[in-house]
Amino acid sequence: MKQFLIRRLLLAILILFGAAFVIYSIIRLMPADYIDVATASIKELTPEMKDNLRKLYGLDTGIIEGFFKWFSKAITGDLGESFIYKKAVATVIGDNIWYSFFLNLPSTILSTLIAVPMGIIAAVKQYSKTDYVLTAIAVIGISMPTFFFASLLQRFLCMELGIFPFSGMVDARADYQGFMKFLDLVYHFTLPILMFTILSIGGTMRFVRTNMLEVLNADYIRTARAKGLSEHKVIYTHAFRNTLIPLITSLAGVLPSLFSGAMITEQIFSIQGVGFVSLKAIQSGDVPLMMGFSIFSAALMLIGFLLADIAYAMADPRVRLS
Amino acid sequence: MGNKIIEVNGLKKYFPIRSGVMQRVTAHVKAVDNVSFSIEEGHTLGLVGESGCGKTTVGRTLLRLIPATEGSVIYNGQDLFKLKKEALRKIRPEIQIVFQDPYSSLSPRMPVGEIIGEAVREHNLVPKSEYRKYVMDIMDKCGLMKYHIDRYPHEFSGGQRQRICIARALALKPKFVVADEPVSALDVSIQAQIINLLEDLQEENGLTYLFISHDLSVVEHISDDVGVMYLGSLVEFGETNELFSNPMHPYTNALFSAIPVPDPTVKMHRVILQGDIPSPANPPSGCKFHTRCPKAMEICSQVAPNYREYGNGHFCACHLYEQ
Repeated sequence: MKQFLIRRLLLAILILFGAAFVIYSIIRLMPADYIDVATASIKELTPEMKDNLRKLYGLDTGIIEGFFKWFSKAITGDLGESFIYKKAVATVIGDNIWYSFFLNLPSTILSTLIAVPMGIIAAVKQYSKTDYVLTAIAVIGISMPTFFFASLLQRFLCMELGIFPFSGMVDARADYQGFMKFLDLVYHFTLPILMFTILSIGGTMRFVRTNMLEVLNADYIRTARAKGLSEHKVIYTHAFRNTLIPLITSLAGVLPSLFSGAMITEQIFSIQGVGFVSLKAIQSGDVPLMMGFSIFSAALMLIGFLLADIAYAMADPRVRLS
Repeated sequence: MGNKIIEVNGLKKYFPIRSGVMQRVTAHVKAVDNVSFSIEEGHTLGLVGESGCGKTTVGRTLLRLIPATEGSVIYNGQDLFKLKKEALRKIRPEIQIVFQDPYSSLSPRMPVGEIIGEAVREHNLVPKSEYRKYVMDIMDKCGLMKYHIDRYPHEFSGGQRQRICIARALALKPKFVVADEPVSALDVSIQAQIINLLEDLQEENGLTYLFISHDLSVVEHISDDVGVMYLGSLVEFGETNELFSNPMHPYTNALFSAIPVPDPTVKMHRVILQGDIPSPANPPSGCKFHTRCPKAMEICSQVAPNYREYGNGHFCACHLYEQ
């Protein structure tokens, strides 16, 4: 186990290095850099002044040189300073990460709690009306684009019925403090969480259904029935337990993505999470922030894979990590 | 005549074939077509026949693991097919089955002790305090080590797995066990061990077996009575010695002539059957065997022969003997 972890860690560092280089190159290859975007409206700026600004922001170097400049700092834990926020990148991410988390965690929990029983029921009653209805719901959830569904919800629930606030995180006209502020946050987050939940039910439900179907047709389920176990026991302790492995594995992989933000949703609902900030960084050519965000996402992804592998080994007695 | 523990009357199992856009039932695979037999308590009935003749389906429908289309199975005076689900569940421990494939029929994520003992606990067969010891005793009886109790199925060989399957069935103190080709997935040296184990256990516990196999030597060795199946129906049935010394049906003759004799000097008179086994979805008219029968007559393709007794409990369905 220890060996396995060390090996994976070394591999992760190597992957991160490669990913960082590719991402940096792509960012620097973008046609307009931060200086172009930031000074677009100032007509009096001469090219010399622009070059001076570039030097100031460290954008005057080639890709390789720039990358190693960034890398030599990053390896000491210094991700640089964001151009647009004028704050350390780590601080920007740290400030906004909790909004993303607060959006992702409830919807992940909710959608799992709803999707797993749905998947089990659909599999147990395969090809029945119940199955078709649940599958139809799942397909709608999978195929509905986020922006479209969000607009629909905003149109009906916010504008027509006025149940939820249109967007934003807090009521700008009321200066709530303490617990009231928290309640206001919850109120504003309800709709995005709801939307996220509905959209992610489909995938998990199909996943559970497929795995359950496979297991339900296995010979050892027949053995369980022959033992005279109750149908409930057959389905939950024998069949569902065996589908838990892929499920745990996939959920463990999802865990880090709770922090990584959702660009489209956060943008539509004006939630200042990691996704919102990083989109802004991309639009304005904020190299350090983009790098910080990308490396952060890549690291989360690698942690996710590692967690999935560990979860897999713990859930399946046949897998030993070595 | 002893006490009949199980009586099967006119058992039928048709699997629907669906086709077309609307998935309408267009035909049926007649996997089991009107099979009747009974087994005396403490006896073993061997069921033989080619692959796909419906032996396994008989075993499974018999125990209501798959629903029957028609017929009845009387176990100790109760019709298994008419029992309510809950009542059937209560009776399950008494009627057990050992499946053909010891690799796939064990839940991969359950320790052996749990596989064997789970249903024992569920049905409260032994007091809680004796439970673990009981499971270990059963394992010991079936030739497994006591320290195997916390291991998982993938840590065992095929023969050991089949012992786990047998221990699992036996832990429930059954009276009647369907052994569905319990040795066909194992190699010959292990086969003998498992057969001996089954025989010892039968003697000790007074078990009744329905032994399904395509291995005639094994069936001859273990069975008191033998039934021969062809395309979903019994074609011949009788006491083992009687049947093996005096096979009546041409199909039985052909099967028996294929038994290998461990003596190279003996000249074998093989009856080679022509063609393949017909589709059970569209069985031949009259006697189902007439398409391959070396002694087929004109009547065979038109009228199905009666399945009747020819003395000594020897049943047969063939026009050769009907006059």
